[in-house]
Amino acid sequence: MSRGSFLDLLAQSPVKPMLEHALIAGNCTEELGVFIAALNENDWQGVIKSRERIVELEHEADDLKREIRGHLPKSLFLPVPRADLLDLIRLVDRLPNTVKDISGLMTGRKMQVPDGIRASFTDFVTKAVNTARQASESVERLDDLFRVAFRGEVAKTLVVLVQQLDVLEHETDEAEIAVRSELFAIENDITPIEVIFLYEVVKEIGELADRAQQVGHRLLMLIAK
Amino acid sequence: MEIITEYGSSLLIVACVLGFFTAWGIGSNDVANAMGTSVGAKALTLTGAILVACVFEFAGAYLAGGEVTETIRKGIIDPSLLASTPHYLVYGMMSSLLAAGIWLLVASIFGWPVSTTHAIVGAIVGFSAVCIGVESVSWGKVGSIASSWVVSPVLAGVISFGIFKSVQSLILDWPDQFQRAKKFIPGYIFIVGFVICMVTLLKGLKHLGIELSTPESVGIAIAFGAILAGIGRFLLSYVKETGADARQGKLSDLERMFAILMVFTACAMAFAHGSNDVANAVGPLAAVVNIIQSGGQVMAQSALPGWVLLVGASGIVLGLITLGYRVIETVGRKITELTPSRGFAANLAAATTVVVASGASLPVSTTHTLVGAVLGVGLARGIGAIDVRVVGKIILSWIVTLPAGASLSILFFYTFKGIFG
Repeated sequence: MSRGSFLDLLAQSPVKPMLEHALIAGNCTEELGVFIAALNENDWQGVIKSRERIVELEHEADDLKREIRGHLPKSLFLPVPRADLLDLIRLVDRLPNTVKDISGLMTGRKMQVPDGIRASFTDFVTKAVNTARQASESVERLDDLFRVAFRGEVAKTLVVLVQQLDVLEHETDEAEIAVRSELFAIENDITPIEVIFLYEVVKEIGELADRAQQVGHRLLMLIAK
Repeated sequence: MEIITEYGSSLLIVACVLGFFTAWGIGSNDVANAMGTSVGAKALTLTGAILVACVFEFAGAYLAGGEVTETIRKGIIDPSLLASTPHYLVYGMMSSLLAAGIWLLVASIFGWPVSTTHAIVGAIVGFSAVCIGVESVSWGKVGSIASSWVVSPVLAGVISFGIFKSVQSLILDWPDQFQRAKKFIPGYIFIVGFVICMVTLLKGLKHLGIELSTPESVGIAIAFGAILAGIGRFLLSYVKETGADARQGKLSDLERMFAILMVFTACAMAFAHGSNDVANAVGPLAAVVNIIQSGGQVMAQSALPGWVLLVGASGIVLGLITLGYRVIETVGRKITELTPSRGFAANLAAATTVVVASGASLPVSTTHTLVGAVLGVGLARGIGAIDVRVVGKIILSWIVTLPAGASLSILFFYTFKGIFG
């Protein structure tokens, strides 16, 4: 038996679930590297297993996203605009979605990466995955940002992280150009349909890095004055 | 007059029981608000919190509770209209205690965030306006009390906002937070000691026969604050960097240092609460005691008897021991979001505001002051998420409590009048 207390004011902070969401998104994008490696080694069982793991993580991220949104009613007063947080969650959630699309396309069409572009393609994937990981790790700094109330040294660290993210995204862009030119050079040796879908996959992987960069910039807006 | 002489001692006993009961209610429920933050932030264990609360609630009530008690006792009603019917004042004050007690019981059952202060002030204004006459209420004083109910949460919010911003600028913004915290936290402890000591010395000790000049008080308060800061420094030297992480469910090294600071602010909060809220139980009792001991002289200029404050202080402590620990436990479990670096800011701001109100003889609501303080930290971007709906709920129960307390005390007044004549 207790009268309501002023502590009822304190609602559940969205930080912890958001960190978890970013962690799952990061794990899911990392799995893309495993997926491509299995594909390159013609380990079809490994491909299927990896694809299942990606789908599973994407689902987890989706569920968590919905749960976080449910815990952010309009009546909450947050240290940053609610719309900014919701948008950040949406952007982070696009990373596992993109990975799911890429792996789905490649599994469904039983695609192979041609020998001629394999090295640069693998490099491209690694760079895109690194970019996405940098993004999810930046989001994991939200914890510290809330802790120090969005400024000071922690905010500066975040700016550095996002600058690194920009560099990684740029490197991914260059790797994409390299893959495209190699693919162009060999496109007469493979079937047109294969070529179309290889370009499609390359485009999606490039977008993974783009979207990762958007996450970083959204994050910076939280500390912008 | 005959009623006072005839039933004097039995009325006195009933009033003592009612006052003690109300104090018990304050101890068992309101104190949780003062101590819950510290337990929740793991700054104090449950036993530690009870111990701190007992000592400092008692000290606050006894040392600094006199001013507000005087307001409740004779500031709200103008007793000159009651010179020929002093027993009405006795009935009224007893009705007010009973009304506040019952209303708080109802609020506890439904979980409404109701303030004891509002209930008792509403009850006293209610019976005197309706049963004695609208002109018997000192509306000027009531007006200043009512405005203090608006000013105190706002003031606490402004102070807590400033405190948290200062913590940011001095400690949180920097890469070497740990060292900076060690350096600056004793400063905050000094402020805690200085403010509490200063208000007590300036306003509280009159009934104990101690009168100090302002420079003397300032000197003692500075010395007191410095001693506390020294103790704090000593305690902080035991905090070592372990790299513990909040993600492992532990307090970080930084928060463990703020937890030490929070022990001090918790003491201040308990002291402030005691100094202001004991009056709700003891003020009406003091009025009754005064009339009966003077044989029916409502205008008698007697000093507040010390034992009356003791009744209230012991009631609060008993409430804490019998039921308060359970409430603190429940409240403490609810908080994971208010870490010591935030909790101390809210506590210090609220304690300062309440103690200053006590010094200015204004009965304010500790709960509402804490609400204002938490919102202040929130506005400084210090709190993960605040449920704004709760503020509306609190304001609503604020508004409902006044007429509720008033109607109940009017009802009990006529009941007493029916029984004793």
